[in-house]
Amino acid sequence: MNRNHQTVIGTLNQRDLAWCGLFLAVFLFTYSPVVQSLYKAWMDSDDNSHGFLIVPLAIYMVWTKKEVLKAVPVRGEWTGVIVLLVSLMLYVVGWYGGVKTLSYLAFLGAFVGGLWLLLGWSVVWANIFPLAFLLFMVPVPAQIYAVITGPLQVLVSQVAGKLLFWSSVPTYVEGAVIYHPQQVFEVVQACSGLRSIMTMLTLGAAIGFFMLRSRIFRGLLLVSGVPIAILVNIFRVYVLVFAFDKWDWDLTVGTPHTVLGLGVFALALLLFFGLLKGMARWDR
Amino acid sequence: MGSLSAQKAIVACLLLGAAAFLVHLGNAGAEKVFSGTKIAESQLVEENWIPGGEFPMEPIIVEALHLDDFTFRPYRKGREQVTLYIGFYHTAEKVGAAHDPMVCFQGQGWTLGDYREGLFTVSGDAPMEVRHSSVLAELGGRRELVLYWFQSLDKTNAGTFGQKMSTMMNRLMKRGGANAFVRVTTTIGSESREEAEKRIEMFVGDFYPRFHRYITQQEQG
Repeated sequence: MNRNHQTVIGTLNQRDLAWCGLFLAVFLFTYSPVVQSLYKAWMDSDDNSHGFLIVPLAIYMVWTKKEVLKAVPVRGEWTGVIVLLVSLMLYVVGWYGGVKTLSYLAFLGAFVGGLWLLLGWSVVWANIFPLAFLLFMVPVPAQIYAVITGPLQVLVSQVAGKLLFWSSVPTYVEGAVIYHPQQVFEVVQACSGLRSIMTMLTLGAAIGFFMLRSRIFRGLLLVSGVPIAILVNIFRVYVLVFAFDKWDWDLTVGTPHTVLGLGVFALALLLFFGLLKGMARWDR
Repeated sequence: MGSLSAQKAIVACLLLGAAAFLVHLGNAGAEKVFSGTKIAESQLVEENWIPGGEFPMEPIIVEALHLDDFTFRPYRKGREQVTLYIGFYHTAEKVGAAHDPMVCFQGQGWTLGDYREGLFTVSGDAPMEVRHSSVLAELGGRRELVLYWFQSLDKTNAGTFGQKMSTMMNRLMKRGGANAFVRVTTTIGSESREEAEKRIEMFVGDFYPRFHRYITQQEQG
């Protein structure tokens, strides 16, 4: 008999998988109000619609590493029950108190706590990136959203205004409002670039995981999404006002606005993948 | 040979089950929705302040702020003039819908400075505290003192986080979810900031007791 036999994920039997299945079923039942609330948040707002992709991507991340994960030792630890208990308390308090973000974070915390309790810290650590990636499905709270978009709106307006000045377009910028002799352009919240930033961050995290090995490069790719999103948004506002001034084109509404947005997003992807290609060359 | 602990799995399921019970129990009670009179039909400011006409608000702004009710008008008492804005929400769900002036004023081109937090004590049925924030705003040579707070039922908060906490406590205690963003502004001419703030404090003294009764009317039975 091998007294040093250690259970690994690959040796879990049907009984073990049944317990995992039971835990998952009870977990999803308990958190069904949160799942419904998340679904509604993703459906109701373009800013959160990327949430639909997060769980499938996270599962795929785990799947691509299944051969490595099969060898991860399994040893459930009671420490996990502390994380699970705290998460459940935060869930109940958050739900009763109407603080949805707290409930959403508690949802993720309880899942991690349950994994830790049943399968052990080694399993949690081996899956730390997909688990952290799940944070992208939590909608940005309204107060934080306002705090971020306000300065972004002003930044985009100010820089676009400078570019327009250098292009001899007569404009005056006050806050997030660009005044042209014939039109007033307000960079509203929806045009602050936050949606692009969230999309680029999500893309950066996912693509970095699949295509880069170095953690430093993965981190760099992740954060590069922020300046790229801001730069292309500045460019979008610049083009919008420039086109109005030079050719009397109204790109602020309807199909032209959508096409401009898509074109600018394609530019963002171009910059992003260009950076990825450069990093991949150095990523040995 | 597997080694998942049945004991740990059972403990996890029991804890989850207990939380599920508590949450579904909480869902059984409907949230109290404010159903009092509209602000326009309520005399929230004492009669010694003469109200001006309502400033129009574009429907797109009303929608963006998710307002259930609002008022936005000037008041004058002798040579003192202030402008009152109340963005009112009937349910706790909408806490967070109001935007902090520190965020949205800059977007309109205002330069903000000298931010402070303070406290007024207002006499009414019982002494009441009004915790507020204030900031100096400048645009095109015009200077205004902007004083505001976030109301959650009978509690005032200088910021949105405090309002969130107050709302959470109200919900946990099964109280109503009515909440509001209140902003009082006054133009600063040659006077000091302190003198302008005194003017606002005087107005708040003549406004807040009635507003407090208005927002808590359903709690009074």
